[in-house]
Amino acid sequence: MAIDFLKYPPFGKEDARYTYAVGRIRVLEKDLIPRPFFDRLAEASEVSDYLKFLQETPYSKYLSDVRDEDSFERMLIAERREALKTFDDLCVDEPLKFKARARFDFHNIKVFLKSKIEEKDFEFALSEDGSVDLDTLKQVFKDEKYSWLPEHLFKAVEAGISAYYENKSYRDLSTSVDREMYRFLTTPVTENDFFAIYHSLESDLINIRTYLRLKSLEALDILKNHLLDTGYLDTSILLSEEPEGLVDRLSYTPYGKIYEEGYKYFKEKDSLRLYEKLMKSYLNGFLKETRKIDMGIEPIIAYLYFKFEEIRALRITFIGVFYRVKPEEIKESLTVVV
Amino acid sequence: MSGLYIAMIGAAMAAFMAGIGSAIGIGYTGRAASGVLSEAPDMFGRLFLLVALPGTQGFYGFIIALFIILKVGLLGTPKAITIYQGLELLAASLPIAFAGLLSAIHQGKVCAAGIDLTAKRPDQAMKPVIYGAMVETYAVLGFLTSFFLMINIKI
Repeated sequence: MAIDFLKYPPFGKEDARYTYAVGRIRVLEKDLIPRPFFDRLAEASEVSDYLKFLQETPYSKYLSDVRDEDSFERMLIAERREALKTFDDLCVDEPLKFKARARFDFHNIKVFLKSKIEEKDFEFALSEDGSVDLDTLKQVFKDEKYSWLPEHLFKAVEAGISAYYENKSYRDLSTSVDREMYRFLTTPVTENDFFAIYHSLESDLINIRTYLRLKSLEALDILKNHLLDTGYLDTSILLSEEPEGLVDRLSYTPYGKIYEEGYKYFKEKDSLRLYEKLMKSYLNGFLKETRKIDMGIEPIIAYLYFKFEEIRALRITFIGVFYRVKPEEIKESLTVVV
Repeated sequence: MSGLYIAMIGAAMAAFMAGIGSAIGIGYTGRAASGVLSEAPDMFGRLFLLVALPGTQGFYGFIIALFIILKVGLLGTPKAITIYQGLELLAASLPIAFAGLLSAIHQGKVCAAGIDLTAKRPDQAMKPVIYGAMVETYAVLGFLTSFFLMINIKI
């Protein structure tokens, strides 16, 4: 793949099968929590105030059961499950339903692999939101019949095991499974696969972040092993350029400004916070582009991802308020742009 | 072939092509509106006009078809129509047949987008109606062309 677009790749082939779904999503989108509301949540002086503010949102239906961190997390999981169910209801392309749940499937694969290697039970870390149910996964790992898994998960198990035993490193295991996940997500399965385009953009930005992260650890020699091969950007640029030179090389790509500003901040403060914020903002901007689509799967995927983003932001703000982190610091960690 | 048959083909084309356009157009708007109403049932009134707008072409086509039917006396005693008169009537039906078919489909898309806009911003409900009406202009022009052509055909 090559970069032949100025800001975002073209997408959005008209698909009248999604006319009903888009209408429904436009109503649901109104309930997404906007950024100023998160700022208000971050400023809550204590958890009771935080929950009072949350009464004004669709999350109010859960609040009678929320008392502590655990019950708050249960609420977030329930809301995520509802968003995934809405996606399943509205998506008429079966293969895309697997993609929507892929992150949970691959996460479960990592947990089971770690559990197998360490011979410990990490059941508490499993997610029930994957497309393969947990009992099946348990049986597969118990019997070591990995070929029973869907092909993309089978490949991830194989890659994870061989990566781990090469260096006895969980980091390598995780990278290999993630690589397989991105390969799965970026391989188009329908004529109009928005997941593939979105995750190809994300792959590029993750690669640049990995580059900066390894640079700060002075470990660029292992960069090749940690790059994703699923983006639009030719990874040889990252392997051959010094960080300063990369500013010029990337200036001709949509990632130029993100890298330039992110790298400047990184040099000054040895932190990737600004880069990550700009990265998220670029990707969310891409999701926002789907507002121009009236007949297609794109707005439904964008809604699901905005919902994931909202849940993540609620987790950050709640934990921040719970542990009395300064409001400014909580706000700094937020990337919501709805 | 008698001119009557050619005139009948004209009447049929006006009705079925504009009708197909309207059916497809309303298919789009109806689906979009159903999606919105599944989450916000109180919006029925605001969406009604946008859903119905692509349906007008079907009526324009039907009116022209009815004029042709009356002109050739199909509801009573059929008149003797020459081939040239038949061709004239067929030609008169074409503007609404084609303008109706295509404008209704595109109006359906415009109105479906308008329904999505109204779902998000109910206070803006009238603006997409205006955009939809802009597409309607060309259906009306097709209808008027068919109408004026037809009333000048002497039988």
